[in-house]
Amino acid sequence: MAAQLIQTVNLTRRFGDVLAVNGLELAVPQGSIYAFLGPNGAGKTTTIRMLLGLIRPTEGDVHLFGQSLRGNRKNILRKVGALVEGPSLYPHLTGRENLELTRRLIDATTAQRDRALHIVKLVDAADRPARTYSTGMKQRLGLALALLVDPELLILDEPTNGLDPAGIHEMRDLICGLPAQGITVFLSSHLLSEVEQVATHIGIIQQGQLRFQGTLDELHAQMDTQLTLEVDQPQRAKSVLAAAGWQVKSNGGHRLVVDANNLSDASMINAQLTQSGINVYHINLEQPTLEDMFLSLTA
Amino acid sequence: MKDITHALHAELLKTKRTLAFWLTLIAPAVVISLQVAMMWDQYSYHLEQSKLFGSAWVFYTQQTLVIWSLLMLPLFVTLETALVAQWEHHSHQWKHLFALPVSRGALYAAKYLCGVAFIGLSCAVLIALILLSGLGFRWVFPGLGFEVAPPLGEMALYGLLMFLGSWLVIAIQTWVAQRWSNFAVACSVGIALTVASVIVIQSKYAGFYPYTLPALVANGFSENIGALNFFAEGVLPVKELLFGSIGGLIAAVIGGWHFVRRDVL
Repeated sequence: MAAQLIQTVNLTRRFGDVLAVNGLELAVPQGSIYAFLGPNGAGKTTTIRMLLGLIRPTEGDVHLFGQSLRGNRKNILRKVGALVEGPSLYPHLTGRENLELTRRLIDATTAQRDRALHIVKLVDAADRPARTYSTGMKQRLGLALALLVDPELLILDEPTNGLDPAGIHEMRDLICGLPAQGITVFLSSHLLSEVEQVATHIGIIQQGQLRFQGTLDELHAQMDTQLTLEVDQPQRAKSVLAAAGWQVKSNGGHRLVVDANNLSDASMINAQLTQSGINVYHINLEQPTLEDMFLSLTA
Repeated sequence: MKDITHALHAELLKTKRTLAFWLTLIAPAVVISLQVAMMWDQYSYHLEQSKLFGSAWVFYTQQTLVIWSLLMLPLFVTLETALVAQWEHHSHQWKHLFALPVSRGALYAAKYLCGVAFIGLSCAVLIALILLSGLGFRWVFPGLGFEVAPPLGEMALYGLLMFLGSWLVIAIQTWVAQRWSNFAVACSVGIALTVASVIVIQSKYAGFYPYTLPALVANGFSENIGALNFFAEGVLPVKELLFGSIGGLIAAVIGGWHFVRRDVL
């Protein structure tokens, strides 16, 4: 089992009477792309800010790289890059100067600065003021700032915010390539279809509490798959299947939806219907999407 | 210490193409322009006062320092610290800066020292412009008394004292500007406390009011200077100077201590 790069113990944060994060026990394995999901106001950004030491927890502790953030903040942050709620840029400075500023602060080399510009493909626009950048370029420059420290852990809060489809595609490619460079990625996003394509691990938070944590496969295993059928005698088919013990939902017209687990179930249902003289026009075993599972867990 | 050096190095880059930097040159130039215009308009008054003071240089310098230190300097500190703070507030930089492996105290200290450097530069520019304009008066207003050698040592000394006396105001305004992201809050506080200083300086509490300290220490230029020169009887206003300078450093440490403990929401 991979070592946990991020581990939180009973992480809790209260704002007055509001319990924003409640006893969170995150476990993010090294080398993973961990997607941290939740509805608006679920506590994602508060959690991310606590992971970076921007907000102090009311209770509990954050451990990064096996060390508590308390008392080891500087040592830990040397290995962490972050992009929190959009890029923080000085608009009057050029892209290169924005990176240079952070480079001076963390005492990185100019080679690291230029490498970060290269990774996010901003070399050609590096000497233009950041205020002239498009949203996508600003987001990429924000990512370059996060990559400047040569991080082992990258924390990205809504990295695709405001990006057009091409920008989202570029960002996805960038993120997918990071684990191969030894970078663990912890990201929050609202774009579940995008997350599904990049994440190896999922954490779902709602009302400050973790509803699920594990791999995408583990999440799938918790959810029922559905068999969609189109038949010529839907009422009869419903009776036949119900008599055989299947959970059947009629979806109107000739369409039926049956709770089924796998292809073997699908084959059995098909056989039962055809043996009863019912013609099956269409049969499809549907895996629930991440969006379906997210909505089911947070509904 | 290394972190402060790095943070100052970064602050230097931030000043590029900023209004805050150019104002350090523009603000003293505006004051000198006003003084030149007044000299033109009230030549006979200046001639009379210069005789009374025994030196055209002394009177001219004193007049300029009063206007600068009592009114312009605190307002300038207000504007500069607010502009410097806006670099971070405007683009939500604190969340990025505080997530870097840099001491938070060093980041705040660099902000304070950046304000101090701007004010120091503007005071130096003011003294240089007093000197240059005074030398120009030799040709424009012959007979006014600028032909004698300027008292360079005293001019530099009182420019320096005025600068040291402003450190407390810089510390207060830096904290206010960093604490509240709204530009109007920092400006309102600075303007209100500066306006109040015009009244306070005439009271016995003037030496305890941060916004009057630059004027009190700067006005020790001559022994017989008039109503504003409460502490200038040829004696260095040590108490006010220490309150303004050392008090400024202490206030900056307290402000920084408070600021770095705040949550970045």
